[in-house]
Amino acid sequence: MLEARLQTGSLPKKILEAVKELINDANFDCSDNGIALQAMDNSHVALVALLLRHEGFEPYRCDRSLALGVNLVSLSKILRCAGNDDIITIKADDNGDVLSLTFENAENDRISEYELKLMDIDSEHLGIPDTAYDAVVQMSSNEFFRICKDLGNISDSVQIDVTKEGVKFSVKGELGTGSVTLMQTANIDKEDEATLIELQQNVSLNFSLKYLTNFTKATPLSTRVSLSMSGEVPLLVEYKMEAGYIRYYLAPKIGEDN
Amino acid sequence: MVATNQQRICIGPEVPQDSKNPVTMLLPHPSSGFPSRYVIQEGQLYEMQLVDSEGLRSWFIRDTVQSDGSLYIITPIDPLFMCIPILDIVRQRTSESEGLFLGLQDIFESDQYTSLRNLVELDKLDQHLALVCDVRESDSGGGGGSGKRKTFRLDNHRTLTWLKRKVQVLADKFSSIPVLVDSIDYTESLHEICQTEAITQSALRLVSAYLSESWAKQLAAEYQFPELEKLESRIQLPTLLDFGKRSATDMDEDSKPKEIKKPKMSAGQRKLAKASTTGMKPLSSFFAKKSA
Repeated sequence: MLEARLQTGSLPKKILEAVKELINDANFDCSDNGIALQAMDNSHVALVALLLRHEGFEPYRCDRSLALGVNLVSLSKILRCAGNDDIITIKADDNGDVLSLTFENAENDRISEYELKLMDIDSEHLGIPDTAYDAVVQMSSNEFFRICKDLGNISDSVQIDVTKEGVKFSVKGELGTGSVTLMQTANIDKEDEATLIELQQNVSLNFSLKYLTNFTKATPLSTRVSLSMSGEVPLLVEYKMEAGYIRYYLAPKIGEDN
Repeated sequence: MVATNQQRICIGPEVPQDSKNPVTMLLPHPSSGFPSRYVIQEGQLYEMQLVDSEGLRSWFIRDTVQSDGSLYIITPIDPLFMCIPILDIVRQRTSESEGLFLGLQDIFESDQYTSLRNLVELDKLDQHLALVCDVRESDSGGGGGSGKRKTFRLDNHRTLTWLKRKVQVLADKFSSIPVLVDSIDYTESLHEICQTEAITQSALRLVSAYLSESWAKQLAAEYQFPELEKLESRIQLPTLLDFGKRSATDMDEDSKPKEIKKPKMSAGQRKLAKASTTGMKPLSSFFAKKSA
């Protein structure tokens, strides 16, 4: 039996918007720690890992670990019926085949109830080790969103170079080239906009911009984003939330240094 | 055609009160060659179609029940569709010769279908035939100027021109006939050229339903549908069946069939499907699989 209550409707809505752009269906793995999700995109080159820790819910109860197989488009349709200020309660029985969602609006005494059919999903879980990355860039999520959008107009892949001075995103396309460079600690006064770099070693990697742009659907979840990179391992793009995170992993493009 | 005590339900043309009884007859169908029923009334040719009740339905007619629940539909048909296969045979065209010129009586003389000669009675048949035939006029002989004897020989070029004109007429009227509009798989969002091509293609199919295989082939060769072909090769409209399917397609597979199998993808996923993943290794080559 799972029962979890969220104080704001906007959070699950934003999460769903961020995840459903990458994957179709996924298991929500519920345990006493909280609710987690891990799934790869169709091409298996990107992975999203979501964690909502139990502290984020009030109350949270999960007697036994449960995997709730959900079609994300369907779930987002139901969540669209919730107001941003609604209190959302989700419930599932141990052997049930539905996920029930209740949206309560205290202001106008409105209660809406929905049931989403669950599905059996064979999921492949990848064990992701804690990695010490060569370079970790923390920056404004809006800035990252803008860079991906701007450079995506020019090319499909972006080269990211991190040095101790700053981080440079550069593209080469048919129409020409472009680059955006963010200098380290450019904005001390505005914490949200500062670019911070922890560097063990310079890195220079290529990534698909279409995928990065897809990840920026999570921008509303956090004002900050961190990009963690090491040579020839997947990039980690992380948006931290109050009680949890959404992490994207993306395989680098290898052999495209031109 | 039927015993007088038998009545049938029929949708047919309006007939003036004083008109003669219609002539009904079996003639070879222009496409299949199987005998089908046709009607001549007031010099016009009609084809008769039957919605067979298969003995399962009956009609209520006022206070009575009629056990035969079939519906007969009688609709006008251009006599040339009937004539083309006949003319095609009787001209006896060979590789050396364009074939024979024949008079009306000779054309519609058949041992197998004696009722063919009824076609001679059709209004302005000679004018119709002139649309698809070479015509020769000769004095009917015997002086007195009683008229000229006309002989006909089917001409391939004229026939194709006439058939193309038929397709065009149908295509022009297409949008005014709702059942036809519904019959083609195009949506409003399609490119205008595609729509036009889809309409022409559909009109072509309708006309070809009244042609023998060889004529249908010749006619089809006159048309090209480049935009439609492009469209079909690029996308296939997902059918209802596809919506039930979910599959775990692997990265290695061609991206095109994958798009078809995954109609439920969100906008973001559709964009990703177009992303080039060359040089990108699957994540499972970086992270070890864990048993779930």
